Amino acid sequence: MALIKTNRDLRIDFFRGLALWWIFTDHIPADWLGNFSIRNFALCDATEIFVLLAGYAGGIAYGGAMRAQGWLYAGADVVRRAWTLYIAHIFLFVIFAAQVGVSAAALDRADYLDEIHLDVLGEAPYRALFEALTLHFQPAYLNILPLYVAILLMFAAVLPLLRWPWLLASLSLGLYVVARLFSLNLPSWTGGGWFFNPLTWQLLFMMGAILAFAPGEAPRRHIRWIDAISVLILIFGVVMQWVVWQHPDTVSWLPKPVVRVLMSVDKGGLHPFRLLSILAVTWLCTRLVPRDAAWVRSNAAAPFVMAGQHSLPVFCAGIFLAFLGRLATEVNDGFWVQTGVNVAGALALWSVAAVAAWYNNKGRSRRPAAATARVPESVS
Amino acid sequence: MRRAICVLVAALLAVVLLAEGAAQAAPAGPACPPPVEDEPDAGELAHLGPALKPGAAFNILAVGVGADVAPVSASSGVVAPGFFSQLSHALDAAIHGVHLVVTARGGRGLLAPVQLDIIRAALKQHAYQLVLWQTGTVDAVQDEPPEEFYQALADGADAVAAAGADLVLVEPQYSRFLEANADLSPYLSAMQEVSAVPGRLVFHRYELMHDWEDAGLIDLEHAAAADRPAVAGRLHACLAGELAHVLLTGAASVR
Repeated sequence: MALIKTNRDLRIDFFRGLALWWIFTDHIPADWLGNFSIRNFALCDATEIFVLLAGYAGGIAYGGAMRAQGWLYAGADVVRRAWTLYIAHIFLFVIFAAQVGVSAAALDRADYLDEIHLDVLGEAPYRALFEALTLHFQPAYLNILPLYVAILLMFAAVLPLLRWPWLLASLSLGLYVVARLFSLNLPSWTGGGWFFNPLTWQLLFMMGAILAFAPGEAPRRHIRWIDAISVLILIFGVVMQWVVWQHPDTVSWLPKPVVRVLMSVDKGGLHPFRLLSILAVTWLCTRLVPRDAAWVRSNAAAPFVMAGQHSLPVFCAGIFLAFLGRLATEVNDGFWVQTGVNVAGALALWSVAAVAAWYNNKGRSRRPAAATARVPESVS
Repeated sequence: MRRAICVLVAALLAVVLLAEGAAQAAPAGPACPPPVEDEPDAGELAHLGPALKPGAAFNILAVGVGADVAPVSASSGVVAPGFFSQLSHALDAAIHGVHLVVTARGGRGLLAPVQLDIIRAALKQHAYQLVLWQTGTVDAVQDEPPEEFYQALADGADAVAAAGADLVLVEPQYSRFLEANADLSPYLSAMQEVSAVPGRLVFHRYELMHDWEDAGLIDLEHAAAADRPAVAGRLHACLAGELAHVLLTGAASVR
């Protein structure tokens, strides 16, 4: 039984799988492999890739369903998907809280609870559970799925606007600008709003959806210029990461307002520099990796492709495994232990993806063709 | 070509392993690591001079000291010596008889703008020669806008100057978790930017602790539970020694 679906753009699955792997390695403190993830070389990180490609997959799956069946049908599917993600988030919250809490008690490490903001769960457990259920309480590591849920609910409402991509893009950009200018965010129990502001991050998701649903034609006349600008944005990101933020004294000759702009790049609100960075990365990837690239279909790429095709279980497993990896490397963070953690973690993630793929195929083989056709595979 | 790549990879692995071995072989003695702190220019902390002398009261307002509360080992019940008692000892060793009076305000989990209100209120109530402002951790972890953080620091620094005190901004404590899960750079840069005038300094605690952990000299995160109070005590003592050195140098020409 083939575990990988090949009748789709495998580049999307590959880069999604890569982002999931980076989310895993980036969440293990002091992991040497984390030094090679995208966040070390660009202003964006795996979160931007994840959200953009989620939007792209959503544009294909739900946009196609809307064309065939209408808004109500496709919108209902989007809401159902949001509900699935919500259930997965609550399940992960319970598992992760138990994992961290038991580890903190067993190892005499109360700082685990402080770092991951689970201390309030011990101080006011009933209130914390209630706030977690309403998504007002999001411990560290557990703030991506709530973002995804909120964005999907917005997407369900604006789904018909995919037919008028410029209108949808304008509205989405307008909300982004207003939310950033007036610091609008959804409320959080612990103060400060959601870590990932859905009102700003929706822009990236909608861009992905528009690119998938109404890709348009590449601007042939200015293609070299776009290439050059994208490369410049990437170089700017490297300079920011390796020079400005590592050695702030090196830019002391710049005017203060410029330095302050450089220092103001926030992740939670999707700063424009981060947005430009992920757009530049995306443009260059589409230029360098054609849809029919042989290596995306190679055995080496297969684990990432498979993980990308089953992103939800892989993401949830990654969060759990990353904390396990941290526990292991705190006993011994030598090179070989770290290597073992990274290898075991990657194999575990890919095993989860393989099991999810197997179950998916097993179910489909018994399902009538008409029923399987409406399942939005790209968002599994 | 393939052979060259293999050789290159093997060489890189060897370098990593040798570096790791060298780091692990470093002795973890009881003494503090040698100072690596950038020394301030003498006279940069002008208000400290008159206070740093035998018999004089040296009033410190310490804000955001929640993370400095000494850890207690649940298994052994042993409490590590606190940071400020260590600082007092370090200053007393340099200037015998200096009378350190520390007023702690604010607790853990506070953002810089909230700490700013606390500082303003405290400065109205009492006169201090020095404000030690430990900040940035919560702001970075919650990814608060760095420009708001910067503005809070700048306003706080102005308030401290207007009250006739010097300001030392204390960087967050280093931890591998913080390094992996929060983008601290804009916040550290903001601290550096705000402190680039006389009367203000940054105590580079994050960098110091990072260096000590990397070198295997003081590693609180990897300490066994039973050893943690002792390691925390040593960490506090060494940080206090570094800070005392910075304060004494900064105040030197005025005293």
